[in-house]
Amino acid sequence: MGSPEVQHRRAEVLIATTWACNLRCTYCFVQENGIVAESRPMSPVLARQVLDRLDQALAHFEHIDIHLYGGEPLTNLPALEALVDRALQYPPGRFTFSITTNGTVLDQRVFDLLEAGRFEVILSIDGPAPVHDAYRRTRDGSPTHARVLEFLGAVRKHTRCRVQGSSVVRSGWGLVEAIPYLRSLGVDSFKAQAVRAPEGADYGLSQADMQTYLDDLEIVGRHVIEDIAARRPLKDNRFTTPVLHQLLGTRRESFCGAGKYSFGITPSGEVLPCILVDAATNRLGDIRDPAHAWVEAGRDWWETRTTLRDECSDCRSHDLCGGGCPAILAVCAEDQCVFTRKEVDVARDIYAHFANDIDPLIDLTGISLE
Amino acid sequence: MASRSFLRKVLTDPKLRAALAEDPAKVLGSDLSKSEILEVKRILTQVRDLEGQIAAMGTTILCQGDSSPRGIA
Ligand code: SF4
Repeated sequence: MGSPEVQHRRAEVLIATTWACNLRCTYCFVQENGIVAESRPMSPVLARQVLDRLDQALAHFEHIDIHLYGGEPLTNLPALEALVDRALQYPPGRFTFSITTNGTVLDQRVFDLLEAGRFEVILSIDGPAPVHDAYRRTRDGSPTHARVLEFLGAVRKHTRCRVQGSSVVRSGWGLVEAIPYLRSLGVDSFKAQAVRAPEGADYGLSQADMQTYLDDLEIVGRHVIEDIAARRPLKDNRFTTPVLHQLLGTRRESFCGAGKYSFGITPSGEVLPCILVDAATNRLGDIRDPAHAWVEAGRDWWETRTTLRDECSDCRSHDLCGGGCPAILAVCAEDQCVFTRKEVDVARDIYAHFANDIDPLIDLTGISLE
Repeated sequence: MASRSFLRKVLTDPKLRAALAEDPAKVLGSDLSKSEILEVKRILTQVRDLEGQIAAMGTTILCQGDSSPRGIA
């Protein structure tokens, strides 16, 4: 059992209860990496065990956010129901739930589950039907847009869950088109990001598309400035982390909290620093191992990530980037750095805009005077 | 004492935060009341939580959600 002393507020654990998916989206990386065929879904028994082991191993965190991932998590409802059922036996707030879903499993059990776990729902919807359906199709090639809209309506009708809309920007579908579309859905927040494509993929961004994407980031940044100045809650949080670092006078020690504040668990119960990294080379242990073993292995893994790669040492953005996401550097390397540097530049512009009057930025911290 | 300008200073100055965490009376004077010390501690705790939260979040949109790191769609 871990130390009962709370040292951190929140940990996030991304759990893939299955790698299987009912869709065959053209740009999906999970389908590509060959793990789908060889993996069995998580059983309800293991799901319950996972919750109990996490409670023990992460006793130094006050809250644990379980983020269900996959594959399509809603294709393994028995495991999800077991997780939520077990979580509800813990004190309120010990476990919270998020789910990234393609929004195509329409079943009253799904909405009962989402409501019971008060999920934050991250819903993949690229754009209007022609844009969405071009790539997001079922195994037999049927379109899915209409079903996703129906799913969104049902979440609104049957649950009190917050919904984040998520669009993949790619060749022919730009950031400044995706964002107004997501806004029009009335979701609580949204994210739109460039597709991660291996070289030569026809959906990948061309050089011209990449330049447009970079220019669009500046436009998004100007909208964020307007929202902050008007003290409107931000629906697009892509710049929030680097802006807050500047406000607090801190720099990033590592790209993310993987291994220390966040973990990944595979359908078979393997523990990884993040569900998106290669399991063969980054395995921390098994959820059934003594808890301290994988927690310590995770801390060691995180420590190694705090040493900047050679490519990063001379980069102008390393103070606010932290050295890149280990999961995607393997896929899109320098392209991703171009985007990151631009996001950091825009975040610096946002901070500079408020440098003489930081009060609107203080709102972003959620900290108030009594 | 915990005015908006104090909050601004604490939020933006990591050295001040470190000094306050070590010995608030040394920084703010020894005539601090108990409630003032508690207020300083409350703000420092909130800033520390915020630091932890942003350290846990991925830098870019890839991992970001509203309140914690988020996955890829
Ligand atoms: S943008 Fe790329 S090169 Fe620069 S610090 Fe981040 S990962 Fe390293």
